[in-house]
Amino acid sequence: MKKSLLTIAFAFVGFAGFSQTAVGSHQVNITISEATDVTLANTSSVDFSYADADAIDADAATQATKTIDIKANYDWELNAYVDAAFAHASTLSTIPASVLSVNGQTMAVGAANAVAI
Amino acid sequence: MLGKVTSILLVLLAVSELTMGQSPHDVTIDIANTLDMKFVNGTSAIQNIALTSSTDLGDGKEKANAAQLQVRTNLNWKLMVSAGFPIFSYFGSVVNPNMPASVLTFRKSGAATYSALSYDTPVELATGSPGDYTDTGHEINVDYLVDSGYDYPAGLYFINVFYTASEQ
Repeated sequence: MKKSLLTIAFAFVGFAGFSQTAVGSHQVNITISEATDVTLANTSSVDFSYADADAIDADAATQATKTIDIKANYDWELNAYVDAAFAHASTLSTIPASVLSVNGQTMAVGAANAVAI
Repeated sequence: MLGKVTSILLVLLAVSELTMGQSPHDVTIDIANTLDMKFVNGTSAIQNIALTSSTDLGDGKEKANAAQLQVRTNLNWKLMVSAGFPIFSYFGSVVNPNMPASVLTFRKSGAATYSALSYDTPVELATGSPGDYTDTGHEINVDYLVDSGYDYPAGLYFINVFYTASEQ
């Protein structure tokens, strides 16, 4: 009789200890496209000023610095070009784009002539 | 522990007015612990989230109610969320960049903040008391937010998200 009661007691403990669990899952697909975000931090004009002959002879490269912020999820390169030769404000004379260098690269007119900087 | 098993013993005493005799019998009802969970509104299907612009990559892309679940049980319960693998599987043009599961974040709809999906550490999403599928608190809607930044290349990434309901 004692053995039977003991068996019943163990049976109750075993049942009560059984843990109820329900599991479900689903798949999540994430499609990531190529994307870039390019921002020119300061869009103000760049002015080179030559007050005398000595200044014209000097290298004026350090007179202007622009910061470009680039975000991309792929390997990138930054190219630069100018849209036209420098035009005089009041005459028809021009100065070739090649007088301007960006990061050491001589500028040329048109996207087809863009150079990596 | 024995409190977890509800056992109701009803003793019905039948008295016959005609025979004046008594013939009682015992009716025993054993109610087992039970717990069920299911996806509803088609959310068991694959959930697609597309990041197609720099805004999506920079700010993240949300999908509201990406998972909708219902729980029915006679127990106090909790619902945990975990990933099936530590990183996303990947189809793309470069070597697998091993995007971690944590890029996918989730929240119970209406919650203020998202939690990162984890393979090692399941996150508690909801808790509740006994009740049926449609009782208050037994329907759980889940929002997803993918915040990959610019760290991962173009391609298709996928992972399984597991929901586990169990007794508290």
